[in-house]
This record gives sequence, C-alpha cells and structure tokens, in this order.
Amino acid sequence: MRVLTTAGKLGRRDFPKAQQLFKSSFEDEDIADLTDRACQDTLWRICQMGADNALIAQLCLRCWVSHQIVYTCIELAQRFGTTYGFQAEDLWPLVLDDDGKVPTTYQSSAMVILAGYDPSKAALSTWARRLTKNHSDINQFLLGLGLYRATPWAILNDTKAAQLSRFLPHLSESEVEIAAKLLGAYHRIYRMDRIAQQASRGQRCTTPTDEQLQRIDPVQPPNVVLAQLHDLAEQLRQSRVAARGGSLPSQSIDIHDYGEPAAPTPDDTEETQSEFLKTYRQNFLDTLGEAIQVTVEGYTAHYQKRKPSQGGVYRQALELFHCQGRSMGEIAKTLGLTNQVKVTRLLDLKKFRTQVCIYWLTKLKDQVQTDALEHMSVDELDAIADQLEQILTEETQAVMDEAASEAQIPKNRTANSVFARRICAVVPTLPLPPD
Amino acid sequence: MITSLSHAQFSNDFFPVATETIMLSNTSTQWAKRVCHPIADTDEQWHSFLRALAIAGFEQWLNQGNTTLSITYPQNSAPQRDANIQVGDFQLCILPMGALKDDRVAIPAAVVTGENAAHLYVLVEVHEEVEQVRVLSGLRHDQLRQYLRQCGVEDNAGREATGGSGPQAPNFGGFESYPPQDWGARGASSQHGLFEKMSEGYVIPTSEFSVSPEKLLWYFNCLNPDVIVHTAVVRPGIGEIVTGHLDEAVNTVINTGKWLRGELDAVAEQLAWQLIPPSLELSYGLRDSSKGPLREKTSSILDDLRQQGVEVPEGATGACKEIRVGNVACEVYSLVWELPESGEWSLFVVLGPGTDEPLPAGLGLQVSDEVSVLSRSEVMPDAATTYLYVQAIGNLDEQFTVEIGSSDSETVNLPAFRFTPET
Repeated sequence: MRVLTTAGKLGRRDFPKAQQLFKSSFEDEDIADLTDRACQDTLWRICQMGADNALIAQLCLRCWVSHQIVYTCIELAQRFGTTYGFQAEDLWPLVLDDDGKVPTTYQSSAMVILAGYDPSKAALSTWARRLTKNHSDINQFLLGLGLYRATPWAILNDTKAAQLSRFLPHLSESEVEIAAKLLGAYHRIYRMDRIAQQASRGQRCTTPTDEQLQRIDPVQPPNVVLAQLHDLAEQLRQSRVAARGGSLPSQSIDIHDYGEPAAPTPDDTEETQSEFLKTYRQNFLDTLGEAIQVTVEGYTAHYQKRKPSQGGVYRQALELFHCQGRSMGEIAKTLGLTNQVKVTRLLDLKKFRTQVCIYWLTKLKDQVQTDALEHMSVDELDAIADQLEQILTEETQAVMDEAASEAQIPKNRTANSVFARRICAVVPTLPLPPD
Repeated sequence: MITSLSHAQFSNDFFPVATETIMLSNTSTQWAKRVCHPIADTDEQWHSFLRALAIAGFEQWLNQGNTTLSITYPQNSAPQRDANIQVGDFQLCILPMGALKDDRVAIPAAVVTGENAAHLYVLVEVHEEVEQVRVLSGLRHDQLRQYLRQCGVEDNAGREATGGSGPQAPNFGGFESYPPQDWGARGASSQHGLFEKMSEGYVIPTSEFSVSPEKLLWYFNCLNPDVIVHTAVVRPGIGEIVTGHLDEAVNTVINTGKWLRGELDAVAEQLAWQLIPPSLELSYGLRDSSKGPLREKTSSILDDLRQQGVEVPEGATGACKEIRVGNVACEVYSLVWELPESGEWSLFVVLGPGTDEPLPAGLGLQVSDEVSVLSRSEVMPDAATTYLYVQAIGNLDEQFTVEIGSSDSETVNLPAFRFTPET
C-alpha cells in the first residue's frame, strides 16, 4: 500500500495477510494471462461474499486503490503543477489517508472509492481516478490556486433533462429517457436540499447521502444509484468539455489576461481616428490625470469598505504594478496576498481603464452638450471606446527616448504606455486612506 | 497491478478561475436563497436560484470601483425568467449559465418583443457551488433582431405584450422551408437544433453574444437606450399583427438600381422576382402585347391607378413576384425611379390579387424606412379594392422595407430595397 511516512514522504507498507490471500487466490492462474480487471473482479467477489477473508480481500483492493490515487496526483501535478505552483507531494496528504487497519476504523478516501464502486459501470482504476479528481480537499486546494473543477453534483444540478439528447448524442432514445428520469429524480431531491442548507456557505456540493439516494431511487441499492449518477455526470462533463474544445491556456494567469493590446503604429491611429477624436484627443490627454484621480479614488473607497479594509493594499498594488513594473506574483508576495489571482482581481485592470475613459467622456458631454454627443449611435460609441483604448496604450516619443533609462521595467508592460505614465504621475500624490 | 494511465482526456475538466470572476458576498447568496425558498416547483426553484445569483453577482460587478450607476430589481421575490432588471435607463435580461457552458441559450419571448423588450441580454456564468459569478458578454436588442432576421425568423412585434397571457412560444412554423445548408452556414448544429426548445423562447447561439463586459459599461454610461430599441417596440401598423416568419431572407437587400439598366440584381433574381420589361413605355396606351403578358398586366394596373389620379413616371422600371400571405395568393409589383433634381429615389409598390378572387378585407401593405412606417394601405371591408399601393421617397442612400399581412394571417416581409445605380 502507498502511504505517507511521518515525514510526509511517499512510502510503502506491506501486509503479509493480504499478500497471502492474493497469492492463494491466483496460484492456479498463469501470470501472463492475469489481467488487472480479472484480479479486481475476483477480489471484489470475495469482498461481496462476506466470508472470513472478505476484509482481507478488501485490504488488497485498498492497496490497489492507493496506487491509483498516487498516480492521479502525479498526473495532476504534471498537467498543472508548473503553471499553478504545486507538486504531487502537496496533494498526497489530502487524499492518501488509509491507515491499513482491518477492520477499518474510519472512512478513508480508498474506502469511499470502494463503497461507491459498481463493477458493471467501470473498471476500478477509472472509478478510483475519477473519485480522486473529485476529492473535495483536492478540489478545494486547487481552487485556492485558481483551478476550478465542477463536482458531478454541480454538473447534474445545472443540466436540464431536455438538454440530455443534445449533450449525449450517442445515447439511444430509450437510454436518454432512462437518464432523464434519473436526472429528474435527482433534481427533485438534491437541489431542494441544497437550497435549504442555509449554512452551506461556500461549500462544494457533497456526494448525495444514502438517505438521499434512497429517495432518488427506492428500488435500487444506494451505491448503484450513486454509480449511475456519477456515470451520467462524467458523460456530461466529457461531452460539454469536448463541445467547447476546452483546453487550458499554458501561460500563467497574469500574462494571459493582462497582456496589453499591442500598441498601434502612429500611422494607423491617424487614419482610423474619427473626426471626434481628432477634435478631442488633446482634451482627453489634458484631463486624463483628473479622470485617473477620480477613478482611483472611487476604487480606493470601494476597497476601503471591505473588512479588513484594503484601500491601502490597493494603492500599493497599483504603484507596484504600473510604476515599478513588478509581476503579479511578486506583488502578491510583497503585499501578503495568497496568489497572483488575488492581485489581478484587486487591480481589475480592464474595467479600471474603461472607467477612466467613461469618466472623461461623460464629463466632456456635460461640458460640450452637442447633439452629436447626446445622440451617439452604438457604432460611434464603439469606435470612440476602441480608439481611447488605443491612445492609452500608445507609447509617446518622449517615453521611447527614455526607455533605455528604464531598464528595470520589463518590456511589453504597461509602464511605457501613456496610461501607466499618467497613473504614476497622479497616484503617488493622492492621500492614502486611513489604516 | 498498475495499468498505464492514458493521457487522453485526462484532467481537461479543470478550468482556470478567470480573473474577472466575482466572489458572491454573503448578502448576495443569502438573498438568493431567501427569495427562492418559497418556490414549490423544484425545477423552477433551482433556475430562479441561479438567476438570482447571477443578478446579485452582476450587481456586485457593477458596483465595483468607481460607479454611479443605479440598479433596480425586485428585492422581495424571486426573479422571473422574463423579468428585466434596470440599470440606469437600460432594461437588462440576465441569462445565467451553469457550471459547464452550453453553446446556446434561450431568451424568453416576452423580453424580445413588446413593451418589456430588453435593451441588452447579458450572459452571466454562475458557479453555484463555489459562489462565483462572472459577467461573460452581452447581446444588444438590435443585434438579436438582426440575427433573427438572418435566420428568416421574424419575431412578434407587440402581440405578446398585449396578449396578457404571459410568454408564449413564437411561431417558428415554416422554418423548414429553408435549405439546410443555410442553417449550417449560420452555425446551428442542425436544422432543428436551433429551435429545439421553442417553449422557452428564442434559442440563440452564445457566440452571438459579442459585447464585452467593458462595452456594457460604456453603453450604460454613455448611450441613450433608445438607439438600441426603437423600431422594434414602437412601430405601429402591421407591426402589431403577429409576424410569423419571413418567407424571404430579409437580411439581403435588393438593389433596384440595376433594374434601370434592364437587369435584375442577383438577390432579386435568386428570390425569383421577374423583371417587368423595361422602359417604360408601359405607360398608358402604348401597350404592346407582344412584349409579354406581364408588362401588359402592369400597364393595365398603372392605367387603373392613373384613373384614380396616381401617376407613375415614364422612367420607372420594376419587377414583380407572386407571394402568398397566409392562404391568399397575391402579386407584388415594385416600381422605382430616380428624382435627379432632388437627388432622391422613389419606391412604388402595388399589391394585387394573384387569382380572380379580390384581396380580402384587412389585408395591409406598408412601407417603412429604418425608423418608422412611411405609408400604409389596407383593404377596407365592403370597399371594392382591386389594388393596394404605397410609395416612399428617400435619399439615394436610404433603403425601405415592405410588409404585407393581415390581422388574421402571418405577415410577409420583403427584402429591403435600395437604389444604387451602378456605373
């Protein structure tokens, strides 16, 4: 069995009784013909017969499941570890919790896996890997790093019976009917209970209890109903993921989401700029400082209302990012925030920029009061919005001349843009909110 | 005993939490639970719950940062699927999306047509179990109408709002008459798929929702909502009649300018319009039956009209088409001419019976520009009306649309007409 040593390392424990049973169960077989599936089925049958050696046979399966758990963790780390900053070792303590005692003293992950297993639905390896990925602590851990995986129960909650035939086109009409009936029964029981749980703040959907499973289908044993629901959810997950062509971006979050749009070359800008911006471009640049000031103050006041107040943290993050060109990850460390996702969310860059531009245009409308501004068409407004964005990302000639002296600022970052320059001129002059 | 693990399909079910994601506040989730708790139907309860979370999350998103926008929605009851929320002067329909994305979404008919039409439809992703919400994208009302027109599905302008019986399924009858390849080209996965859940309203691909969250903010702050919904709701006349589906693809535009040179444009040709042999000595008295029955017929109509004091100039040229409006067979004659002195053009449309039966009472013909109805004519009961006609005059860059219908049958929209004389 794969276990954790007291030092938290991956170790191995042997159980002579289990090895003995295993050998005696298969001594007549030719090793070459012995498949995993055949072993599982034999051991599973011994478990179910409830004979003297049933618990030892179960121990064999627990050992086998522990390997599946380890492999699943390794695979998760290989797939996501680099981008999201974790290793397989970080996952083992969350899920590798079988103490090997016979009879078992508590519901370890391996026992949960075995309890819900239905051999007619899937191989034990598939089932074990699926449940490991569904493990609530692993899911919670990864969510904290910025990776979300919907539980099967969330998927079923959000699927309408009418969608089944479309999402699962490989099913026959009668199969869809059976699935729809199961889903409907699940919805009636599980969803209502979920809304009624007033105390379930931020809690993942938990596996339906035996009592709930009984209400969903009174005729069949709970573990069979559970396996059926799992199976349906997994099929939906695969189909809907496939339908999206979904794959993860390989880059880390801040690069991915916060790359600025490429600065246009000056010629393009001249040509595409509307009459409107030819007239008001200078006004925009002249009053940009004021627009930034008002917007920053709005954000600061908004964050200051949080408990604990975060106005000060926001302002520091703003300066670190725009003026010092620090990465989101570094800023998180400096400010004691859990990870870069927190920083990007705090800075709210896209919306912030938009609000600066909106402030300016609204102000201009008040000052100028022309018909053209009062009755803009959607297309006109779209064009103005896009062009203002462009202006903000432009690099001024003066800035480009200075570029050499700004070696500490990484390339392709906002620090050279008109917008970042103005932020750095304005923000340090604003009074900080009280602590 | 360890099988090798297959990499295929492994772990592509974890997704990054987007940085725009809103963490729902305790106030938001408690409110959603409270207002949805009394709903007896569990299915309805759950969807109301997701909608409530989406609305509360949208409000949190809107209030983040420096904003002065006001948001209004009923606080003491669960949000109905066909009820709008209000942001500033905008009516918004919030559409929640579940844990895994669907590629289409149903918009209730009541917020597409009539008095409660929304200005914007906003997709909001809701991850209920982790209390996260994300504003995905929006669709403007005008974009939605445009999309429906492209699909050959006209929506019901007005009728449902006055019907008083709540949201109804729009009439999609006849959409099968479209060639299947058209549907493929528009991204629907199957001919029937697009409308599979008609009872829920209009089913629209989520890819049509192209307005970014930032653009939504721009609209709320800087746009007059009237520029998004104008003709849809307030248009009088035939607009009040149930508008079933279009029998022609109205996203296309007929260029009548080409007719002047004695040829049909490609669109008119495709839609089986027939050119009325040009030049127009189709005028009065110079009839020449050797030039075909169509022209003879046209000349006869124009003669009749002339006796009523309606003059069509000699330079006019035109095309004709048989159409059916409900059970009534009709013929439409469109005549155009240029008014060089004023730099304008004129469209003159005549509707006549396609059989020996006169046009039924109540049948109407109207011509509109992009904003309003310019002219309308209707067969009155007990009046001997052989032909209906309408006329529009506009600048060379203006185009006109023509609708034909009656209160007890569907309405037919002809493709828009424009006039671009080609050199």
